[in-house]
Amino acid sequence: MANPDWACFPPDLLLLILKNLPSPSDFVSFHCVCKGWRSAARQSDGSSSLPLLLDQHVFHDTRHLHFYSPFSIESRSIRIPKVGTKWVAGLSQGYLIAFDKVDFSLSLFNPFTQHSISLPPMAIEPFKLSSFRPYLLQNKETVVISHLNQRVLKLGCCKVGGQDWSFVSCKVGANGGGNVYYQGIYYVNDSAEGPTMVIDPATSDVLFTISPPEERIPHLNSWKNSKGFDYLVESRMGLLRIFRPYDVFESFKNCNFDIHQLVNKDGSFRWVKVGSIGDSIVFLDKFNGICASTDGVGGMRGNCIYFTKYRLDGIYGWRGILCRYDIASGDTVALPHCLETRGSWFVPSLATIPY
Amino acid sequence: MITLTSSDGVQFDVREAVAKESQIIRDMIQDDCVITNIPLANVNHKILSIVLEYCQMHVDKTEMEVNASKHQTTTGEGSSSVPVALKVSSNKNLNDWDKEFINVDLDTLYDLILAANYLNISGLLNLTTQAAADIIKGKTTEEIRATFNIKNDFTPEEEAAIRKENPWAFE
Repeated sequence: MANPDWACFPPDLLLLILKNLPSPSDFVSFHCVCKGWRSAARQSDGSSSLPLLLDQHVFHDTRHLHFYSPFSIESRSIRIPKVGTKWVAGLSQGYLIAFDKVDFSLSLFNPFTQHSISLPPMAIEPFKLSSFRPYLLQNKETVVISHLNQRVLKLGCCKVGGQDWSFVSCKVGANGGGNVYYQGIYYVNDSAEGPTMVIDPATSDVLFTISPPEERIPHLNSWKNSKGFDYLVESRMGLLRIFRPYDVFESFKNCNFDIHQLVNKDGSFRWVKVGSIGDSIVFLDKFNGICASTDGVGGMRGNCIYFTKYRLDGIYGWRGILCRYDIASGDTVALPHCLETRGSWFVPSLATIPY
Repeated sequence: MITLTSSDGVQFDVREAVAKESQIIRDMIQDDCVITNIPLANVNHKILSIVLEYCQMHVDKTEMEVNASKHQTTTGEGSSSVPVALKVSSNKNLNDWDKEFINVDLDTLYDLILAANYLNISGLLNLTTQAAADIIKGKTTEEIRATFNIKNDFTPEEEAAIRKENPWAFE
């Protein structure tokens, strides 16, 4: 074997090395090394990478996006091309939805490659942007944006490069239920305590409903029964329904989570309580849940939930904190990083949408 | 016994079980059971001897475990705690051994990854790519270039664009 030249290392083997680098900043450093490494990294789907927490309003900085990685305990910022844009993170494979407050245009934007794709405009009331959830479907050809407001679930769908959005909407129960676009079907919880409605996004027909979970953790205050944060999360174990009862006076130490797994038994779907999610980690922000698998990489701990919540912080007012809940022990620890917002999780990817 | 011949003509006589740690050799033996000499055009003797050391160790450990569990079944349920403890400690030892084993220079690591891939030894491929990742971990782009002796082959314009896009990689 000749004198080893790492610049010419086979791309498929570079990808294997990259798989063992879960920290997003390592991922980025890797892809700046040379042309060979860069092109190898671009073939990666980024799926081995863990999510970063996007804090949008750090010191009201409009020129940078601020990302925080709980694994490398580091905060980094990326310069953004357009000032005066609102950013929405979702399950969109490395792309954020950028909403221009001036001309109301929408686009997909990858902050790591600076690649951007225009989307058809959508009449959005900017203040409602925070309740938008974008999904970029697996084929990377279709963007779905969902919006739950005033008991109406609205689903907007458009082809990347297309001219128009098509909308469907349907009535659901009270606000606040978890919802997710999963395997071509839309799942939405009628309320945090209610049944799950399964909706065909093409017609807005309710295909069937799934009864709410029977077992619930006892609440601190029973009269606040339906209060809490409710999520539907796509995972290796299929769909998970995760609920955290909420109490204004709770400290992060007595946080509790209810986890149910969607199980198909004899043709009927049921929520079944689970006590473990194996080596997976769930990341929750205000609306979204992302599940990633550690696969034992880098000695990371699985079977836990990272979540953000607000805490009254002296003169700063309400600040976001990031906590980690250990599912096995039920213990919660606060991580040493202050957020200005509650943040949104974002999975970085260097893969480019081929358009 | 099977004879493996390295690219530079050095012959290694190894037990079939050791050679079969390699998926590609396993397939060859299955296809043609009278095969006794396998030339490996892509692996030199230095790397092959390291690879075989890995295979030998892993086969020995596995056989030790099998023997331990046999011991467990013959001696009955009453004494089952001993072999379990033995198994745990042997796994731990193997991990320690792997860690020590993979503590090699970058040129060797380079060739080992290629050899593990060519011979299709999944355990060794995992171990070597993880070792390479551990070296990269926490380094800036400049530090990675210096460590791996990689020349920056971007044009000044591309470099400027990359630095602008990814300022955190260069801090």
